[in-house]
Amino acid sequence: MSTQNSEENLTAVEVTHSPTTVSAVLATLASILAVFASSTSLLAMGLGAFGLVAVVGGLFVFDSERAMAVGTGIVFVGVVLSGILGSSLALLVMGSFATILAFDIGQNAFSVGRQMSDETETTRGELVHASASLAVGIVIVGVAAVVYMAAFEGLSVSSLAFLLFGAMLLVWVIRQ
Amino acid sequence: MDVDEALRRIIMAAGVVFVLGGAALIFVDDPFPWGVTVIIAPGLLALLFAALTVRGRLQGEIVETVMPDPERPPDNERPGDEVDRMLYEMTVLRQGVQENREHLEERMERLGVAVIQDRRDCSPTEAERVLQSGEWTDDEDAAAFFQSETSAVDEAGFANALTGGSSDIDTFAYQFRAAVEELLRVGEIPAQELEFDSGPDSALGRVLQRLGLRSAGGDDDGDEGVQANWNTADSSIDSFDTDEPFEDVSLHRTNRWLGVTAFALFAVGAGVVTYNPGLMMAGTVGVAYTIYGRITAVPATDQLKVERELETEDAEPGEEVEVLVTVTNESGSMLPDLRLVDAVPDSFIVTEGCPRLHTALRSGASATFSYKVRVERGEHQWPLLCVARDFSGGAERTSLVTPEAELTVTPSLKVTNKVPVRAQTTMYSGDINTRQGGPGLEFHSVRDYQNGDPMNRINWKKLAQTGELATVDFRQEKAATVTLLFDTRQSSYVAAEPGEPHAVDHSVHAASDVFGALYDQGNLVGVAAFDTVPCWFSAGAGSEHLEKARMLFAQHPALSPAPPERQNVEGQYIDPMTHVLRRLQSNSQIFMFTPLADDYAMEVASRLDSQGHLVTVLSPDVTTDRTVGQRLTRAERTARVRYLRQRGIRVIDWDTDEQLRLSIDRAQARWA
Repeated sequence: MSTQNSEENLTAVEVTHSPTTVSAVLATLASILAVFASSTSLLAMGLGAFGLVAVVGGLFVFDSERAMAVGTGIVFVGVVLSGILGSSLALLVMGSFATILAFDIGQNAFSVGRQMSDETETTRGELVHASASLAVGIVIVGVAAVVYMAAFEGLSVSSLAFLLFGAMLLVWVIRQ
Repeated sequence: MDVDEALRRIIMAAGVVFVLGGAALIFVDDPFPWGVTVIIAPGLLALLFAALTVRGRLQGEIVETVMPDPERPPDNERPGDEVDRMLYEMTVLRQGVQENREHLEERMERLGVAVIQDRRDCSPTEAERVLQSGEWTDDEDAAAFFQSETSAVDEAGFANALTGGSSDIDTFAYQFRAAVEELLRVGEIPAQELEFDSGPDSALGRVLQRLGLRSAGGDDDGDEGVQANWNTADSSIDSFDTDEPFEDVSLHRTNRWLGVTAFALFAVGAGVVTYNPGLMMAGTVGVAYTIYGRITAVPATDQLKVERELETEDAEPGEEVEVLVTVTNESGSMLPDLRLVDAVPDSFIVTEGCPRLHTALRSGASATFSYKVRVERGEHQWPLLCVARDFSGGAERTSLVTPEAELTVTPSLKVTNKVPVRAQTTMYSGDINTRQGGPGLEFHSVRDYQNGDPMNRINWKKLAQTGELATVDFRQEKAATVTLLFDTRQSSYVAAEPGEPHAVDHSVHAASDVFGALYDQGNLVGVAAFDTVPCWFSAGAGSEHLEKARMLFAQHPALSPAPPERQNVEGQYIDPMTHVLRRLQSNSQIFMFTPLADDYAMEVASRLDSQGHLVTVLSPDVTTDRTVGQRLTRAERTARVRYLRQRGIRVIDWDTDEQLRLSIDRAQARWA
């Protein structure tokens, strides 16, 4: 019919759901920072680099959230390993902070990609989320540093054990 | 209070007691005689918890709203899908073997008899005999399908049910395919060669996907073809029908910080076990983030103002309409994470732009996005799906916000084709030449003068020649009553490909054209549909009638572009033709729009024909030939067309790829 023929070239737009670029780049940068923070030990850094490959692969190549999550996990194991093998407190806190940011922002890249699409205007939302996480992290690190300097020296072994045990139980409960 | 909740509270209480105890111990001398080793206990506990959390995270405990892809065209059934599904159930799942087998055998038997009857011009009994004897084909497998038919049903009883009869089923499937191919060949039904490698697989894959048997990871394989979407089926929202301007769908935790909790526990555990304050501090950062993820404020999306501007509020089907959506945060607090998807109706497709936006809105701020849609008939008002998260993303609130804007899409009933009308007429004068003589234009005959004949019809020449009075008769031109009858049952909502209009859409598009043409020729035109929702519009004339018909095409639920199962229509089963037959005028012609997807449509046409109506069937051909089920359906449809034509019912077999006019011309050449 003529009405259809004149408009038959109207086809639906493409819809794809890959992780969003802005968040993916930010997450990668954070992972790189975390790997550098673990560079006091070559072994830890090697492990972290392996995790970084998984993160990048998951974000940019395979569209796999699991690869990204496991990758940041490995990066974090690298950070902890560098701590066990001897590293400074500042580097450890920075490494942990950067890994958590990478995990959060990377996960957000997938979440936004799934719920929105590649064609969607998402930059503003992504940036707001990332900066909120960053700002919260800076506050956390600041407070923790103050608490550490004020309290850590005066703790007896029993007191530390009680505090940690209680904290573990509370974290476990609020975790979900 | 269930067990989980009780346990949670006990653990929480214990945690608080330990923390308080620990804090108290800071200020007193250590009363316990144990050494540093005791610290390892919470460290190990932390590592254990970390492992458990990682496990939970990897098993996917993240909860988030699944958004639809309203840009995409609706995923209508393809003709023959049900056959492919049955075969799949039988051969792969080994389910419902008995019923499916009997169903398929019955259909094949009917098709076989019809095809042979048509080819050999014989009686049904004779055709059945030929079919059973296997004389009709040289293909042994195809012949065997019909020969083994009776025995298979008997044998397939108990013994087979116990053993599963797997080889038997495979033989059945193989013979079934061979028989379908052979019937296509014998019946000279046009169908392309079946490619066993690529075609059926991807088509089957789509069927399986719809059944939910295969995960819908369609984004990865590029050869999927057109991707389709049903707003409700492909999202986690149960319904997009809402009467309220604002409706909350869900409010839930996303659990997205679970991984960070694992990091924290792991670092603390490792720090404690190795007595490394740096690591403990690193872990504390993670713990703090876990708490951040827990502190949530419910985003105030109920104060979100949504405005939708439509380029026009009255459009025609197939037209492109630009939509501009503006959202304004009037809540007085910030909305840090807004994910908006405009839930464009299923029958629309987005042709340009993107009906989504991801943004953050300060109090009082607003954002816009725009896109273009190709519209389909109906009255439409659709919601904006709004997923809002707090800063951390720990909580997610899903709601539907429906702005006031309404779009009415009505067909124009403009005339582009001349539609052939047959000679069943009313007493009203009109455009159709009848065989009766009387007043008119075209010469019909000369007859003897009768008293009272009008003077302008007296044959003066003859009077001058012979002196006898005679009267000229012209062909009488009368109007017909035509009822456009739609087959809009579930079975008619089939499309050749996702993204192409289904048969009902084709029918209504064609009908809005036919209606205008018939109306212009001065006929009385009415509309009816046989469906669970009664649809009846008496034949009439006048511009008001035309306008009402337009609205009917646009609004009547029976003619809706969405299949019945996707509408909120309650109905119990009665013969869908009952209400039509009760009201149909005896001298009404019928224009029947049906894809001839089942025998019922064919029976309706022949029943109306035998009641003395002149029936013209306009049948959009939406069958394809890529899987065995699709091929079977095409063969069945062709057999139905042939049967109707043999009974003298006019059938316009409309290839939907070409213009309706060409199909009408071709059909008319056949009738002439």
